Amino acid sequence: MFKSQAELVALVMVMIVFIIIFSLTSLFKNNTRVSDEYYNLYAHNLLLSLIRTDTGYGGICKSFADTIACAITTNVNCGTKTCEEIVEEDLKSLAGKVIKENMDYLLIIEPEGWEFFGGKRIEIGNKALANREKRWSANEKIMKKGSNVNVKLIIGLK
Amino acid sequence: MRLAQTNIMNYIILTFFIIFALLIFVIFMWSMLAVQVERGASEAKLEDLVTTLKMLSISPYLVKEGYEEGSMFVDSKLSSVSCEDIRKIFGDIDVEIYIPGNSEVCEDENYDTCGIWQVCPFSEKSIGYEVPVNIYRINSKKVEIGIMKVGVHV
Repeated sequence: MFKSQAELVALVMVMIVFIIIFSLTSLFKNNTRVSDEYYNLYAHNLLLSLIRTDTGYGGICKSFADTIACAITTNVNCGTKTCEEIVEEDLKSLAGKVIKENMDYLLIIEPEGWEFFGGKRIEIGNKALANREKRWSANEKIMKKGSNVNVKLIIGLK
Repeated sequence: MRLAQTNIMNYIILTFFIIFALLIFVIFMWSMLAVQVERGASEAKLEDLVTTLKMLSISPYLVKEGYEEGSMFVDSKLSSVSCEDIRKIFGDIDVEIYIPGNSEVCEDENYDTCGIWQVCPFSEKSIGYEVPVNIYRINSKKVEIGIMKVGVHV
């Protein structure tokens, strides 16, 4: 009898193992891997779309790219606000509209050659993303007379 | 006699459990195989979809000329293109472009104010990706930000 009981216990354990593996398999069923290629494309498109969008202001603040360049080079007023204020407000508004809910962003704006020559640098968003291992980034250069501006967008999952 | 009956019972129970365990094993192996095949097919489709996203973003049928990097969709082109044309070129895909906060569905008449272009409407069985894009308003010459969703049927 003892031998049979031992066999039964062994069998039940084997079955439990099978059931656990089975459940784990079901968990993975719908968890399709999203590729890095997609996130890189997403970051690139997000930055490109942001800088091309019209701000609603005219003149030197017509597009978001114009306003970014103004914020770094001159920072004069467009309407009642400075270019930097418009950049910050518009970025929060636009990113709030289009960026996925499970994503965070960090936008870094600096003049070309900032590492050597210094100058004004603007960082908007979650600064912790800069040091995170799993992140995706996109770069654009805004060509302006006198000084080009580098724009870097970093995105990561929350 | 009682001992013999107990042994027979043990054998019956043991046989039952072995069959049961074998059944579970077969079901498990079958489901593993099915999951792997399904997952492989979905991932292959999604990988292809990234390429389709890039191609759509530079398609002259939909975007404004002069933007090498693409993704500058023209409102009038989006309203006039048909799903059949898109599927002839890009395969059996679903495509929708929308401007967040603008719920007006686009027709031929309201293309310059609307915000949802259901070029090939999504079905419940579709899975896909979305990326930010720009929409160029041909009448007002303004550039707005939107989202393009591209999906495939699974």
